[in-house]
Amino acid sequence: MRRGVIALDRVAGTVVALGLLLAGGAMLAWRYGELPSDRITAGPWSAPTTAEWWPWATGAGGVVAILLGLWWLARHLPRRVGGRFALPGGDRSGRLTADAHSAVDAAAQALARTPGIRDGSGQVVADRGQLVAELTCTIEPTADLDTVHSAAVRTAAELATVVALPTIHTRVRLRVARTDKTTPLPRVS
Amino acid sequence: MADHSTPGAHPLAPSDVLLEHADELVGSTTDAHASDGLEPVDGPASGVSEPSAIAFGGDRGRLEITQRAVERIVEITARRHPAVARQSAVLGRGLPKARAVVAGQRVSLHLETAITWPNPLADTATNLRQTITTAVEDLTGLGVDRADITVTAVDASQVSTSTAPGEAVAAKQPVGGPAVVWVGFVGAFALVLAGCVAVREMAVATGLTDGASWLARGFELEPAGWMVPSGIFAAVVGVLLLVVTFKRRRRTHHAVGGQDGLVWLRSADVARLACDSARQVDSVTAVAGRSRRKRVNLTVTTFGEPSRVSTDVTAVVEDRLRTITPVPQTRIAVREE
Repeated sequence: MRRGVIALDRVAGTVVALGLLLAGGAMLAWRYGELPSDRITAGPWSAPTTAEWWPWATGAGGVVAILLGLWWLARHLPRRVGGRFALPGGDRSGRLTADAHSAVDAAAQALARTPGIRDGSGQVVADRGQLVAELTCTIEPTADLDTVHSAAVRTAAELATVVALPTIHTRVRLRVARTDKTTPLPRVS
Repeated sequence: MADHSTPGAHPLAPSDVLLEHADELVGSTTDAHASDGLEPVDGPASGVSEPSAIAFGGDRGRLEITQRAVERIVEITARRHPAVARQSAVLGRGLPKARAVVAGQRVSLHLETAITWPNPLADTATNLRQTITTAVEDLTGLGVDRADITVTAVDASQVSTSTAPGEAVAAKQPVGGPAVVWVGFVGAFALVLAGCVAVREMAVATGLTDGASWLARGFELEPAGWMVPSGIFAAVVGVLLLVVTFKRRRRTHHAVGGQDGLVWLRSADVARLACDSARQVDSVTAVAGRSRRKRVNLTVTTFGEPSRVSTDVTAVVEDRLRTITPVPQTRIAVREE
């Protein structure tokens, strides 16, 4: 999710919250006679609704509001990062590009060869202003965390060498499988 | 491209490639006039249908190198590179895949390829560009103006350990989504709803729909008893909304293996590890567990002596979870069978 839309949500939430506090306070103050007016009367308004510009104004305003609302909703969808990036060494003699998603996924699959790790996948995501190579691995319930951690650190270091992007950060998420699928040791040898 | 030097790790012997794959390059060279008895010409023949490089040798005949021949040279050269993985076209796009544009005696190349893990992307692509450029120039005599390399896949099916791993930079700690997004969802729906009301007003005003205008209605208010609970309710909702708006994101994961911040485990998975460890204790027949960030609650069913089982389970679980941070507090409830 983009940081801009979170800021927009915060601004909207603050405005609405302050409006509710103000309205609540005003209702209480008015009920107990702290406000000078005894009665508020508004409308009915007939002049604007019969004006020639009214249908166009409401129609245009409505369409704009619907589009803005849909845009606001769409901005909450998860952000997909384009994995294609330029490699150093590209010049007039040719561009060098690579798909970072593939490299991160390969790193996860390489990590999944560690005993105790069942499978792995990876992708590049944008998270709070960082470009993150995120590896997600499922481990067996019996997996040794020290072994998994050592393998993950080694793979992350290899990934840093392979991708060689100074802006990329790495994260390995582990998930524990509900049931163990490792081959049980024979009871009798 | 002016550089004709052979790279240090050149994997290709060009003459071998041509000999082995001579059948794949059919059509790349034609002696157009020797067989049909035509007179040799000193200019291009009419009816050339595709881009090609044509060398005119006077009465010795004509050499025509087609675009496809250049592409095949690039693909075969790339396949022989030790860092390139061949990808079958049956399972997806066949890689390596080359495109060549031939114009006169110059050529522009583009190669899409897969490489094997853990070869560095930039170094491999640079070396590959040098290799295919040299091969095309050596084998065809054409000059390469440009060679673009795109690494579209990395193959991890044959893993070897890299010799000089770098240092990974840890990303920020994983956290849950911000609570304020719900405010955003509600606000966006409210905006869409307001837009629908405005469009309805337009429809009513233009006579497309029957009914009265909602926005033209007036209202009249005076102090009343319902304003006290309503005012309190609005104020409370406003305060809660402020709390939700500025609530910090919840930490959802435990760090594994110290403070390097690279490897993370969810709280639910901590409970699964704890349950697995508890099942290994003697006399335990069943284990159920739940975990929050700072606490693991286990319910252990046993036919053994409860205090011994509780002590053993606590010791085993704490030993299993010693590498995660923060270390959750373990609570054991023993149920006798």
